[in-house]
Formats: sequence, C-alpha cells, structure tokens
Amino acid sequence: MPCILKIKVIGARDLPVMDKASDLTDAYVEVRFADFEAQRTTVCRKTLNPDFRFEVTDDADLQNEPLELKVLDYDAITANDSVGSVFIDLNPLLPVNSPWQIAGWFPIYDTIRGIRGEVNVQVKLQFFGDVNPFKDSSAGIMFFSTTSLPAGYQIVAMHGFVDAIVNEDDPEYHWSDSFRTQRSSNEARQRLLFRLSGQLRRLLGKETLDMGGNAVLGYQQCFDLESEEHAITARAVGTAVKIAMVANSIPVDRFHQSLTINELHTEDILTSTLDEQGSSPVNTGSAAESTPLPSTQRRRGSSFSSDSSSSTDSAPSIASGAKNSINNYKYLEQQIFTLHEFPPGTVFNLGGIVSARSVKLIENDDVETRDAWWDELRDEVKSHARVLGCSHIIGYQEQATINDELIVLSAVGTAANLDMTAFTPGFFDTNKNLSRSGSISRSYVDNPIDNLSTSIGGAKASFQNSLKEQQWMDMLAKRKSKRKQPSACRMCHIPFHRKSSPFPMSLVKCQKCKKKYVPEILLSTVEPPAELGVVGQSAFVEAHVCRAKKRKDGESNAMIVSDAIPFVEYDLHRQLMYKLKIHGLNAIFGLRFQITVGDSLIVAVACGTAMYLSALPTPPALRISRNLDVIDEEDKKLLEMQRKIMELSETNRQNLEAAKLRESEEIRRATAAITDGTQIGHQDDDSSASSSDSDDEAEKDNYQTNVVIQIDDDADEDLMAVLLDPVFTDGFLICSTETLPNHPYFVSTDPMIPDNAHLITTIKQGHINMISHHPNRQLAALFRSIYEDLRFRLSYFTDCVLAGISYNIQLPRANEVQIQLTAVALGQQRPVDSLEPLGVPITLSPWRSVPGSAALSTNHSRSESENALYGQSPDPRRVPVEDPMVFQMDEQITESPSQTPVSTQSPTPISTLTDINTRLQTKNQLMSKVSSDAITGSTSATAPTTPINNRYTRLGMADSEPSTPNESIRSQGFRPHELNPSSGLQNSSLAPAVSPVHRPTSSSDSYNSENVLPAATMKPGSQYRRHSRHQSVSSLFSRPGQMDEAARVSLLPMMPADRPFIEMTPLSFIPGRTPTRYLGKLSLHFVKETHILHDTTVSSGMGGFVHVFLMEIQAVARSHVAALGGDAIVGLRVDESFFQESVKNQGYALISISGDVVGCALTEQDSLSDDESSDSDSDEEEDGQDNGRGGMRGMENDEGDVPTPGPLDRDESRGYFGTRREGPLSGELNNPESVKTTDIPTSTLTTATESRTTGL
Amino acid sequence: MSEWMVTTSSAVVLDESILQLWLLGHNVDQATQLRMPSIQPPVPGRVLKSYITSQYRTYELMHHYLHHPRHFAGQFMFPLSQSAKQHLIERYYSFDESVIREILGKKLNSRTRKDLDEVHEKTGVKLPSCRRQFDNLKRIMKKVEDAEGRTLVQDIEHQFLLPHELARQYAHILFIADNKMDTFRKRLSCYQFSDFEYCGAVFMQYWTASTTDTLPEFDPHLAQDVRDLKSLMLNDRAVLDELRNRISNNLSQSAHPPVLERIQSNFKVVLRNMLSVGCMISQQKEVRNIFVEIADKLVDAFLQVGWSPVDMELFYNSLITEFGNTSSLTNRYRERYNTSWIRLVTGIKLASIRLYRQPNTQSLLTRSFTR
Repeated sequence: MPCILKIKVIGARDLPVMDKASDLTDAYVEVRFADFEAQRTTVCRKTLNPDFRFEVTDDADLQNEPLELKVLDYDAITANDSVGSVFIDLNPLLPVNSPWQIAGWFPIYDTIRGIRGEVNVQVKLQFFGDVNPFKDSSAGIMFFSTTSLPAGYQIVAMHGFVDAIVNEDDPEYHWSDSFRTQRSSNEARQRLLFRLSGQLRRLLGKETLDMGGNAVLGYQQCFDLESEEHAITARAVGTAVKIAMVANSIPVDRFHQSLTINELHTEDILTSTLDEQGSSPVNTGSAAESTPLPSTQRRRGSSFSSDSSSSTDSAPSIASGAKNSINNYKYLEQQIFTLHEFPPGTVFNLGGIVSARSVKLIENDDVETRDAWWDELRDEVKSHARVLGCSHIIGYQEQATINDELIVLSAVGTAANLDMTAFTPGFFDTNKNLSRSGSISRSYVDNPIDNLSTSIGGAKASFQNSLKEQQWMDMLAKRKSKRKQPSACRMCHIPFHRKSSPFPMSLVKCQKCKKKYVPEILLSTVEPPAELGVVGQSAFVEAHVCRAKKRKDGESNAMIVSDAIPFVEYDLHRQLMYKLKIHGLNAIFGLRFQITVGDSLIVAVACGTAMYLSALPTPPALRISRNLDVIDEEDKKLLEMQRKIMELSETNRQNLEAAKLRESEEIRRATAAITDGTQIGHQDDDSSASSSDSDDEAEKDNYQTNVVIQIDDDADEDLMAVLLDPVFTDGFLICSTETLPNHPYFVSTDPMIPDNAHLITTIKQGHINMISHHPNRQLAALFRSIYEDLRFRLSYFTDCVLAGISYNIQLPRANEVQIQLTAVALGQQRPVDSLEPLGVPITLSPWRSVPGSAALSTNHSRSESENALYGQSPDPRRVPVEDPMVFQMDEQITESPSQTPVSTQSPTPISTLTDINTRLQTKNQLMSKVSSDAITGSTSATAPTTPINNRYTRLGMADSEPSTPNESIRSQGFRPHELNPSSGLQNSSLAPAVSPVHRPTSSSDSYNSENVLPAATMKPGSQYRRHSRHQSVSSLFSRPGQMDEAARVSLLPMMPADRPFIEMTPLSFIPGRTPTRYLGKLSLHFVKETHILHDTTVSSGMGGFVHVFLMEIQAVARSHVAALGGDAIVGLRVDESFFQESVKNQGYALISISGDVVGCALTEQDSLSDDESSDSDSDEEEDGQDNGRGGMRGMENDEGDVPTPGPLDRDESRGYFGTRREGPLSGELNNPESVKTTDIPTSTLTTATESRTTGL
Repeated sequence: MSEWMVTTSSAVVLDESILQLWLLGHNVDQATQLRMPSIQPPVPGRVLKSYITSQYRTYELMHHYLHHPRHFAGQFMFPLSQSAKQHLIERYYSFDESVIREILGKKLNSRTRKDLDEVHEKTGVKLPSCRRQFDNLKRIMKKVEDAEGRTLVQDIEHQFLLPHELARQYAHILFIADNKMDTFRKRLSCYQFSDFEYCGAVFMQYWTASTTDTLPEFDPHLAQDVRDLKSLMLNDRAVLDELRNRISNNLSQSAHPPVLERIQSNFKVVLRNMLSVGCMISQQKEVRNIFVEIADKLVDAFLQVGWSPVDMELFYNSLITEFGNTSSLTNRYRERYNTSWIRLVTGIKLASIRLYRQPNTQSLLTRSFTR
C-alpha cells in the first residue's frame, strides 16, 4: 500500500567550521531513502528549511530501510565535504498507536569525527495501512526488547517462538573498499546494520502476523560479524503474542488499585477464574477490548468483597482453575519463550537449565544452513526439557561466538511448566512491575477469550504432537494435584517422578511441604518468580574459566574447541556449585553463560544471582582438602585462603539455617494461632494428593555429607583460588537479575525507591599471561577490578544495587581479554543534596570524608596568600575548594565562606548564584528527603488495618496460608533487618554495615520504619503523604548528625526548570516511574573509525576513543527518544559491539543498541512532590523556555547570517510537543524543547528577539 | 598489548573536587596524588586514577560546549541540569586575578600565549590553567568583536551566558586590552588586577561614547572638549585664579587648614596634570600610558603634599561644583563644557583615589634611578 513520507529539515546548529578561511559552513542536507533518488536542500549558511516528500509505494521499504539525512558542506570547486549523517529508523512510526511523527534535534554523527552539530528534522508518515494478505510487510507489529510483559498491556494469547535470520555481504570487505574512503565504507556498514535490523523486524513481524499475534516480546537481535566470510549475519528471536492494552485508569484509581496488588496470586487467581467460568453476565456480554471502566470497577468491587471470604473460597476455586487450564495444554511440543519474567502464578515449576551448544565452521553458507543450525540447537534444548518433564522453555537466549571461520552457537533456557490459563484474558496481571518499583497502576479488562487465535495456534501445535498426548495427560493429572499445594514450594518440586529421574540426581524431600521431592539446587536463567519463598539476602555469584587453546585452523580448530567445551562447562558448573556452597545458598536465578573462543584462549563466564529458597535444603558446608605440599609464599597464601573459604562457608550455612528456623517457627506460631477450618481442609487435600510420592527418606543422610574439593594440582588450586569473592561493605550489592529479592528497593510494599538509576557501561581490556598457572585467577582478577572500580565510582550512592549485569567478552587478540559490562546502578543519593529525584546529573563529590580541600588549599597556599596580601577576597574559583562542602540550610548563607563580604570590584560569581540556590534550597531538600525518610515516624499514627495487612502478608510470605495474624507480618517485615546483624558473620558483603559515621541517619531510620511501611504505601489518598512530608521537614532540622553528613556533600545550585532527563536502562522498568506509553522499538547502529593518538592527554589512546564513542552513542540515542516523544529507553540491549585498535593506531568501534522507547509518568510519590514544586517553579520554567527560544534564535544567529525559521514553525513544533504528552500528567511532563538557556536578563532577551524579528 | 578501561554512566557525574583540579590544570597523575590522602576508606591508586581519568575525559569532551556555551543548552551529550551547566560555564570562565594581571593590557596574540610559561612561573598557576584563561579571554574578544546592538557587557552575558558580574569583569579586561593600556611599568607594580579593572570600569563608564559598537572607544567629543577646556582654563589667568579661590573657600568649610594651604600652591600643577591626562584619551598612542600618567602626575602629586583620599575626594568634588560658578568663564562656555567637565573630573577622581597608594620603596628607588 502506498504511503507518504514527509520530511522537513528545519534547521541546524552548532555545525563545525568547514571553511577554514571564512570560519563558516555552507551546509546543505541530502535526504536519501531506499532506492529513491536523493533529494537535497539548497545551500544555506547555518539554517535550512526545505520540505521533502517521498511517496513510498511499498511499505516493506519503510520497515527495511532507514531514512538517511546527510549534512554536507558545499564547496564550489572541490568535492563537497561530509559533515555527518542522521539515520532515522522509521519502524516506530508504523504501529497503530504510533504518533506518526518523529521530530526534534538530532546530533549529526560522523563515522570519523563523531558528533558534529545538530539538525532539526521533522518526519511525518501518512500510512494507509495494508489489508492485502499477500503483503511482505508486517507494519503495525509491536516489538519489545524487554523480557517481561510491558506495563499497561495484557497478553491475550501466547503464540510462541519466532525467529528470523538474514545474511548479507559486509561492505567493509566490498571490492570497492580498496579505493573508496574510510568514511563511505563505514557509512555503508552502518547503513547495512540499519537495513538488516529493519529486515529482521519485518520477517519476524510477518511470522507473528501469520500466527495471529500482534506483538513480539523479548525481542533479541544479534549481528554476527563473520569476518572470514565477509558477511554479516543478523539473527532475531522473540516471542509472538497477542497483547491488548489494559484500559488504564485515571490516576485516582491507582490508589485504589494499589490495594489490590497485594493479593496477586491468591485472589487474582480466584476472582479471575471465577470470572472465566462465566458467573458474571457483564463479563461474557462485553465485547473484546471494550468497556474498560465498568470492568475495572467490577474488578475492584469483587476484590473488596472477597477479602473476607477468600480464605474459604480458595481451595475449590483453585481446583476449578486448574480444570480450566487443561484446555490449554494442547501445546504438547515444548514451547520456547524468550521472556524472563512471568506474571505470578503462571510458572508451575522450574525444571532447571537446559542448554545446547554446537561448533560449526562457516563455509560460504546460505541463510538456510544457519537457520538449520539454530533449529538443531532449539530441538536439542526442547528435548532436554522434555526429559525433565517440562512443557516450556523460558528465559531463552541464543548466542554465538566467532573465531575466524569457527562459530560456536549456544542456546540456553530454563525448562519449566507454565500455566497457560494465565494467558487468557482477565487473568493477566498487567503490572508485576509494581512488585519492585512500588509503583502501582493496574486494572483488569475481562475480555472474553480470543477463541479464534488460540485455537489456531493450539491446533497447529496439537496436530504435531498427538502421539505424546497420553503421556502429557498423565503429567497434567499430576499437575492438577500439585496445584493445590502451596505455590511457594510447588515451583521447586521436580517436574518428573522421582523414580523416573532422567539423571542420577539426589533428590530431597521438600523442606516446606515435606511431601514432594525437590532437587538440591535449582538453576535458572529467568528472573526469580515473585511467589518463590526467598529467604535472606541474595548474593552475586560468578564463575570464570580461562583455558589455553592451541592455535589451529579449520577442522582441527573446531575439533579442539568442541573437545574443550565440555570441560569448560564442567569447570564453570563446579565453580558455581562451590560458590553456592560458600554462600550457603541453594538456587541461582538470572544465570547467564558466555563462552568466547579466541585465537589462543577459551574464556567462559557464568554469572547469576544466588538465593536461598526455603523449599530446598540448606547446602552442606564446603571442605577443601589439599594434597599438595606447601612450598612457597604463594602456597601459604592459598592455604590461608582455603581456610577462609571453609570458615565462610560454615558461617553462612549456619546463618541461613538459623534464619530459616526462625522463619519456620514464626510460621508455626502463626498457624498455631489460627484454628481455621479451611486450613485443615487444605492440609487434608495435600496429604491425600501427595501420598503417592511419600517414600523412603534414606538418602537424606547422604546428601548431608559435606562437599569436598580435592586439590591435587595447579589447576585445582586455580579453581579454589577464584572461589573467594570480593567483599563489598556498605551496602554495595550486585545482581544479574533485574530485582533483588528481599532488598528494600524491590519489595513492593516498601516505599524505599532508588532515586537514581544510572546506566553503567564499562569496557575493560586486559591481558592474560598464559605462562602463569592460574589463568582463571587472572580472569577473575579482571572482573574484580571492574567491581572495585564501580564500587568506588558509585560511592555517591547509599545502598547501591548494581542490577541487571550482563557481559560481553571478546578476545580481540592473543591473550587479550575485553570485558564489556552493562548494568544499571540503582541507589539513593547520599542525603541532603540539592538534587532532583530522578535522572538528574549529580554534581557531588563521591566521598564521605571531607575531600582534598586541605590538600588543595595548602598546595595553593602561595597564590592564596598572594591574594590575601592584597587584601582581596580570594579568587572566586577557589572559594569552593576552600570549602567545597558548603552546605546552606536555608537563609544562613551569610555564614558560609563563599559569602564573605566581597569588595565591590570583584564580586564572586558564586555569590550571584547563591540566592537562586537558597531559594531552591528548602524545596530541594523536601524532594530529596521524601524518598528516604519521608515516612519515618509518622507511620505509627496511622496503624495498619488488619485486612490490608493480611493481603500484604500473603504477598510477602508467598505461602498461601489464607490468613495470617499480625505478628507474623511484623516478623516478616522485620526479618531482613534481623538478619542483618547476624549475617554479618555470614559474609560482610551481604550485610550492609551500619556504621554511624558512614551511614546517614536518615537511611537507618528508614530501615527501622520498614515494617510499618506497608501501611504507608497502601494508604490511599495523598493526605497521608503530605503529612509525612511535613514530618520529614521538621525532622530534618532536628537532626544534627544529618547536618554533619550534609556538610560533607558539596552542594551545587540546581535550577528547577529542567525537563526530565532521558533515562536509559537495560531493565524492563524504571524505578519510581511507570511507563505509560510504549512508543516503539529503537534500534541504532554506529561505526566509528579514528586515528588514535598516544600522548599524555587523557583523551588519548583507545580508552579515550571508546569513552567518547560511548558518550556519543548515548547522546544520539537520547535524541531519538526525545524525537519520538519518549522519556526513557528501557530494555536496552547491546546487540553487537566491537572495539579494536589496529596496528596502525587506527581505532575501530562498532556498536548496535536497541531498546524500547517509553513515555513515563512519575509515580505518585514523585508526582506529588512535583506538584508542590511546580507551583513555585512555573514562572521560572516559563522564563527558561522563553530564554530557550530567544536563545535558539540567537544561536542560529551566532555566526550572524541568514534568517531563522519563521515563528510559525517554532510554534508548531512547540504545540506538537505539548499535545503529544497526553494524559493526566501532561502538565508536569510538558516541557517542550528543553533548550533552556540561563537567566539572561530579560532586557537582553527582548533586544535579542526584537532585533531578530526586525531582521526578518 | 594495551590495557585500558572505560566506564561511562548515563548520568554525568560532576565531581566538584576533580573539576577543580582539572581547572587548575593538574594532570591525572598529579590529581591522583592530591586526592589520594583524602579518600576514606582508602582505595588502590589504580581505581582512583581510572576514576579521575574518566572525569577528566568527560570535562575534555565538554570543551566544545564550554567554548560555545550557547550550544550547551540543547545538546544531548551531557544530560545536565540547567544550573549544573551554568555552574560549569562559570567555573570554566572564572580566572585567577594574578594570571590576568600578567596578561592585562597585552595584545591577545599567539606571542602572548607563548609567553604564558613566564606567567606560570610568576604566579605558580599551572600552565594549562593559564592557557585556559588566556584562551577564554581571546575567545570572548573574538566573539564580541562582531556583535551588534548590545553593549559589551550584555553581549558577553548573551554569548557566553556568564553572570553579570563576571561579564562585567571580562568587559573591563577587554576594554583595557583593546586600548593596550600599559600595566607593566615599574610604578604600576604595586597595583593589582582589581585596581586596574576598577579603573577600566571607570573609564568605560565616564569616558566612552555610548555607541552600539561592542568594544567601546573613548568618546572623541569628550576628548575634544577636554582639549578646549585645557586651553580655556590654563591660558586664562583669571579663570585659574577664580577657580582656585573658589575651591579654597569651598574646602575651607570642610577640610583642615594644612590642606588648604597646599592647594593654593599646587593648584595649577594639579589642574594641568589632570587636564593633560584627560587629553590623553584623544590619541590611541597616549592612552596606553594612562595608568602610569595618573599614578605619576596625580597620585604622586597628592602623595607629595600629603593628602589623604578623603582630601582628594573633597577637592575633586569642589572642582566639579565650582566649575559652574566660575564667573570668569563665559556663561556659554560653562554650559557647553559642564557635562564634559563633570565626566572628566569624576573619572579622574575615582581612578586616582583607587590608585592612591605609595609605591613600595624598592620600586620607588628603581624609578628614581631610571629617571
């Protein structure tokens, strides 16, 4: 179908000087799209204002091709020089609910020089849609990078796994590359990556459409640079689903709904299953995806009413739900899902990790061959899952590593059984995000089941698998019985019969129900399901294996690698097991493997978040026996280490046992307190159902024996040496998962929200000396140094959690290891700084001690004394150094040194700032305080009411005892903190050390108040919050200790008139903010190639090159997000990255990133504080805007020529920004074109604008 | 075989103390050493160094925007709040008075830039910092040369988003530099930057024409008037005497007697010196020596008679008021020249009072020797 693409180039600014003679640039823009003839603007100086129009007849082009705007400098005689280009991915414009427009300033990116200036472009699409069934395009399919369900949507049907693979010649090796310029081959490569990613989406979308879906979740794309083959293979996998918007409610609703979340897996199941049975006429009568409001209300009503009766209802209704679910077990072949997170209640049980690897040689193969390779792997993974008795593979990922013509493919997932009833309408809880961000907005639409689509998909699957049906029916019968068990331990139970165990495994009786069998250890790639009973603190575990490899080619190389891989994997596994033992933990979630093959090395890394599941047995302590003689100093050290490891292991183990005991006692007490009829009935059910499994308990003994590591040689020694993880004190935590169970940031009922989430990208290149006998240790040391570095950098946070860690390891050259790490640092700013609550850059000194003021001032005492000699106030620059930690509480500024009376001739610039400063001071404190200790103290006044508490407990404890008395809540709430002191012995890395000096009082206060907090979040209405804020203000002043702390943090003025910053995060959520709109998937690709200088400056060398490159790609990504009208990019993935320095000091970098652009609303906590501040800010904000406008004009004016775009254009774009941000929160978010300049005196401003208009 | 490590964050973290070290021109190793002792708990030097390196890299990357502050506002590279940007700009454009004192009045060309190591040796400020200050000055100079429709201060504020006070300082520095006023005579060595800046401000305020030219020039009309006044007053005995008597009378009401006596004898000299200083502004060449002339001819004259700044102020004030009353001058002249007279005398008054300072003994000695 035809569509019209309209492009308007509005202007450019900050262009580089291209004509040395005139110091000006005669710029014009060339617009290219697909095969259309390039169109160009007239040559302008500094400003461009033409329109373009492409009439695109094939909308497949829209998906495949990026729009390219190339900015050039016109030269009369010589060839025109390129300034740079802007590539715009048009895919986000295609979905039905898209804004149809991308508009804004884009940095002009050059593959050699980086960002050079910006160009303002507006792209509009008139899309007519396509109903032709034979079309090639799949316009309209939504893609999500996030591996969980996007907030605000519900899954109507799961269609299963989709994949696509495309292969094209790499322009880097094109024959013309020998004579064309570096720049043009780089751009060709960049263009190809854009095109490939577009094609992938088109293909995947097509597949999804055929299956009847309308979206792809967990979309992962990869680019394999096959240098030997001179080709690039692009792969993509995803999960095809049909999703529907949850008719979201008005903000007021959120408060009410916040009540309901806490019943997640008890009542949700109840009510929804009941609904499905057609008991409510409203429900069945309503058309698909309609009547959102009535249904939400009804939903709410039902949840309220069932508060009292839920306990009695639960057993039968669950049973009926299970019956219902049988219908959905038509998917008899194992299904693969790329999702890592499922709504509570959907995961029946986890079977463990299934993986498959294969080693191949690339030999001029076509796409089909590659496709076949991957299919092979997927089949293998499926068969593994089948053996484990699981019907699904979740958290599935594919990876490839290439070494010359050798490619190692790996596929990893977690075998599991899913309850597919969950993916029928009405069941799905749209917002499990709330469980960690504490943000709450959800409601239900009870759509009738989309019969058509499910039956199509179902039929397809069942057709193939009719043979195995019998077997599965057996399974189902079992599952049905299992369903009645407490959900917390159900997930851990083995999915197969104990007798038919596929492997020699030692199985143990479940520690919770004492009836079913569980494995000793559970490994999984997925996020920890919310209903799992995780006890105590989690720990980050990593295994590093580094092996030497002989340098070989072709077949023999493949032989060596495939021989080595099993041993590598065995070592990885062993390390993980031992580390688990050391930590005394028994499960790993979010486990990721990576194997990289280089010329002379094979490196494998596994990382995951270890947890303690109460259903699994406590692992035995680790013993190490050494058969080697102690010869040298190193041996002694190792021996010492060995002793430490054993000690640690023992103490950790004991701690957890104690914690578990405490917990179970509490539960026992709790259950004893209730003599509830349903409880008894429930138990009866259980015992009868599980009678088949209750057998001998003989092997319980043999598992209790300790694990012993035998150290017989250097290799063993090396293994042992890496077991001791670095210890981080003061609450610096690392995890590979998106959330950390039992951490205050991620407990839904806890209002402790990290006020900052910074995307951290670290790239470290180091080398491994293979002469040493301890390659593993060297590798581990590289990782350790990364963590050390990050810990130090992030010390401006309290309670920092480094979440969602993922690695990419490359071996660029012999013995060189390059580790690329992305993670997101969540934390709370060290208190009492004048920073806005979210995403705001910080200007503070990351140390708690008084920074080098003393050192500095003595160093410069000479010049200072010089100044003193003249009887002048010191140089303004020096003032902050003298007392960099100036902190002004409010009006007391005069006391601070920077305010020392200054002679009129040389007033310090600082002093002019301080008044702004002080004006904001109190407000800022308000805002920054709220998050940490707003709720302190005052909570006692509003005692929690029992029903609320009950609901809370059910969530928190995740064992479906229908009702629990208050005491257990208390203890539940307290537990993490009771644990803390005791787990101090366990491992200091786990327990945040609370030392009065280092830890601000406020945070420890909020710790104390945690147990009362549930009430706080659940309390509907904002009055309570306001009240607490006042409290916090008053407490602020009455806290001298905090003042002290505050005085140490350097304070800078922050003006309020800043627009919310574009957040970037690899996680699927943004703490403290709720995504309201998904604006499409962004996929950006960059190539940069520069000559690298090696001199003494900081920006020299590969490090400087990469640093600049990373900053630039972030800048470009931000501009794209802003142009789409988004506030953040979530689920950010690095699809391919490659950094290398060639022999000729030529740095080459290639990176491809993708993520979901979202529009965000602040959670009510922030929005409240925003409300407060916005009143007083509003006028300033306007000033700022005006300034921005005036400023921009001035800017274009800079070099003093050519008219600016007419006022009409500007107003248009402004209005556009205004309207785009719809929704109730638009008032706050509406900060059009945040190009605000500073306080220019208004007089200046008006003259500026006036002169401009007259000029026009 | 290279080892390197890069860490970037989506938020730009400005570490105030590192920023300071960067501005002071320390390199990474020096900065690491300086910061090391104050880090609690201690960390390995490697970690600190990598941290400081990445801070430095970020600041280096900011150069472009700091050089063009107006582009700082809309860019996507550094997601900083407005105030943080403002702060950075201010910090970047802040200067050491001792360094500027060494550059003051010199031509802002590459030769001066090359000589910055001397400035470094003299002031103890690191060379990179000196360079930054010099480059800032030069950049501002270049940018404001072709701006239209705004006064110099306004233009600096507009172009560089500097706070008013800093912009004013720059304007005065540029004014002095533009007129190449000499500040390096021995006689002037006792004055420091702020003295000259103050005088520059005074000259700009009282003696320049209020044109829309960005770099203000001395008012030619004023120069012409002063020349006329000089011939009018010094050549006419009657005018001179009347003015002297009137001033004596005027002063006798307020000042103490010794002052009175001395003015009688020195009046003509002082008046002549004053007018000849005023005449200097008509010629670019002479303007160069304006500071030294004021110091030599006026300040020293008053110093010799032992007047205090208070006396001087009284004297000048009466000069201003009595001009209009001098009946020996024809009415026409008095009306015609009154404003110019006030401008001239006020300027001289403020400048000479500011520069009222005994040159230290050493410099006095050398001066007498050179004479």
